[in-house]
Amino acid sequence: MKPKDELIQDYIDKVLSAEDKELFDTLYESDNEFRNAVKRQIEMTDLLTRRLSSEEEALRANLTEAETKHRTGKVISWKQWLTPLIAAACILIVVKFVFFPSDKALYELPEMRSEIVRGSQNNEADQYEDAVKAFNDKDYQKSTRILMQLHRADNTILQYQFYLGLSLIGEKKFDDAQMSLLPIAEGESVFQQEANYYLGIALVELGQTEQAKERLSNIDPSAKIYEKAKKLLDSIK
Amino acid sequence: MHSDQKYIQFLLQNNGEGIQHIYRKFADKVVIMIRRNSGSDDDGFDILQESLVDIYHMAKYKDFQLTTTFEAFLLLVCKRKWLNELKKRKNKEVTNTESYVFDIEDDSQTTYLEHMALVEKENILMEVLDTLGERCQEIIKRCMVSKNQEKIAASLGLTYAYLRKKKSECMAKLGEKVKAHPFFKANNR
Repeated sequence: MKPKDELIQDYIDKVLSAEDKELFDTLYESDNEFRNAVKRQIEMTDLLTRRLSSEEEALRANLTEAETKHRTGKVISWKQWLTPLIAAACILIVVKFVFFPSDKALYELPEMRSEIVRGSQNNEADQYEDAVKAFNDKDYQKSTRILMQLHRADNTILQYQFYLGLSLIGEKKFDDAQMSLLPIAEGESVFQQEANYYLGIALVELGQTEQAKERLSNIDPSAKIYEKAKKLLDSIK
Repeated sequence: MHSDQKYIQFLLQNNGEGIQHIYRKFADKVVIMIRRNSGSDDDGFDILQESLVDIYHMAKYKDFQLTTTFEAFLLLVCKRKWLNELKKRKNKEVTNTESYVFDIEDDSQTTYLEHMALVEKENILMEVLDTLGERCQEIIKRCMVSKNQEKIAASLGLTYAYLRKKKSECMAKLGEKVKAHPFFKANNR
């Protein structure tokens, strides 16, 4: 009698003889373990055929190449251009101080508005007011902590998330600020235009100038922040 | 069809330029997310590559459809993969301060999760396959790709009958290992 393993494999490969087919059918009907083994092996065969026939290795080669380019592109250019970059920066600083007024105002954070927010309860409102005070006093570490708590408690209130992003900029945590502002900049709330502007600032600070330009260029000409965005855009071009 | 489907096509077609575009546009976001959740830059890039390979396999299923932005989908896959990796490393202190990044506005997440679970199952099967002896691995890999088993037998210096016998044994061994694996046990496989 043929071993069960071979019966199963022959069945899957469709090479069962008439005699073996009879034995297979009997076992399949009467032996629960055999039936489960058949089902498992059919599934394994399908998955293995699918996976082993794919072009995963070729894809991985391209992914690795793209990763190397992405990573070394940054490192090499940073190293290669470090000296001329420092020289250029020195010249720019001199030129800037001698011939142009400071554009520091473009990077300044707005005043955080004191108000009772939608759906707030007393404790929440008090916390928000504490955040307002800390933010406007430039105690960004404190305002970040409070706003993060508020945002965690209710992430549907975009006002918390928006000011959290600004507060993170105040703390010079630009990576975190980017993550906080990005969803708002890509949404449709009243904070969208301003979020794009401050996201632009975070990107400038992170050295991602091209992405910053893209953000700033997307600001609607009818937005209040538009003129400021235009100036910032000019200053980084 | 979602306009971001083009990124899926880049992967399916193994389009070099397109893949570089994906890295330019999304790599830093993934790396930032991993860095903020106890990982390094290297972890971030590893997770990104593995997630893109998973997306490639998911996209090969006929019923797979991208219903959100590619970015939201990619971050979802990376997040799940990174959480699994952290569990493996027994480092369960994961912050969720930026959980809103993963919010997807429609109910497509459930469908995505089904596809992800399927690909994870395949990944584990491939890991189990790697634990078999070299001869078994070679026989299974070659027999799954080509149907011409006489040719495979000849190229391996075996008779056709012996190849079939070995293949059955190897597949049975694999089946037993799969049956004993915690993932499949947990899923009643």
